[in-house]
Amino acid sequence: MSREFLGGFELLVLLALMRLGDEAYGVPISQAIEESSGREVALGSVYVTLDRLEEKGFVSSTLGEPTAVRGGRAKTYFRITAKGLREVRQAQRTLVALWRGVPQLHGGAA
Amino acid sequence: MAPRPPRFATWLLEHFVSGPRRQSLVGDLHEKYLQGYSTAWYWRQVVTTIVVSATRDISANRRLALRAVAMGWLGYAVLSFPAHWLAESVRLRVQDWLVTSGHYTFWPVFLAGPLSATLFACIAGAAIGWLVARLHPTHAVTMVCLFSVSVLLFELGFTGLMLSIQTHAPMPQAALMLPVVLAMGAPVSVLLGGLWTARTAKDSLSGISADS
Repeated sequence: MSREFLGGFELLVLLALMRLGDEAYGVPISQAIEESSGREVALGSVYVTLDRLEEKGFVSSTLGEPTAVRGGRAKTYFRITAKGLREVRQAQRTLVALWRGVPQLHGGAA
Repeated sequence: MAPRPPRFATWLLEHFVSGPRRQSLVGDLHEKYLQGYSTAWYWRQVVTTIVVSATRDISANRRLALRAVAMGWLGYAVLSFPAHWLAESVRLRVQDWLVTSGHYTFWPVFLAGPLSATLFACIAGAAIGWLVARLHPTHAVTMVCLFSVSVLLFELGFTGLMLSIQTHAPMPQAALMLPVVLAMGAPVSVLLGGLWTARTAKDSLSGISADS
């Protein structure tokens, strides 16, 4: 059976989740990606990606308590699953292997 | 007092975004806004979120989307005949009255036709929006939005075509703009009729369940 590769944004979201640990919810996830990429991230895109990753079994979620600073709305915390972690490792191996074979990326001359 | 995000933008977010985490998403945007992000940023996030959410819903339910648009247009075609007939009846009566009462000037006569046509197109549009939402309860908001966008594109395209091929005597600029503005009546009515239905049946919408 063919497996789907992780998309670029999916990988960014999973890496942000791993960095943030137990404090991973929409705001810090989007900020972590924005700080690393230097680009504005739409929170809607983060949530759509998290939904998709949860459907694939790479992410699990729990609902926190509502707080006043959020207009009385609860946070949804996300966590990477063992399956998700395996997928990130696989993506890392694939990317590193491909990276090594690209002469233009050696020496920073491009 | 802490600043509040734009209310209308939040209303749009709460009514047009589907998915089980809508409330958490609204809370995240609220939290970021309080961190000092601008109103323009908030609006940009809201519009992007609505588009991304609708696109995801449509691509995950392509058959349903196709069915919603087809059924909507079928209903629109069926209702267009009585709507057109009623609009014409009203237009003729109003113009008769204008002639007999001595108010026969350009604007009332010019407006009688488009306004009566738009009124009945809006009623028909709201009815079709209601129908599309009722027939697709699990993704009512997305399906109504999709059909409404298809009506908007059709109406604007049709109006543009009519304006380009008609060879009127020179008309005031406002008179040329009017059909374009009125063309938006039907799609907006579709949206309102559909949204009203979706909201009243909120609890049964599995795709739009709130966090709780």
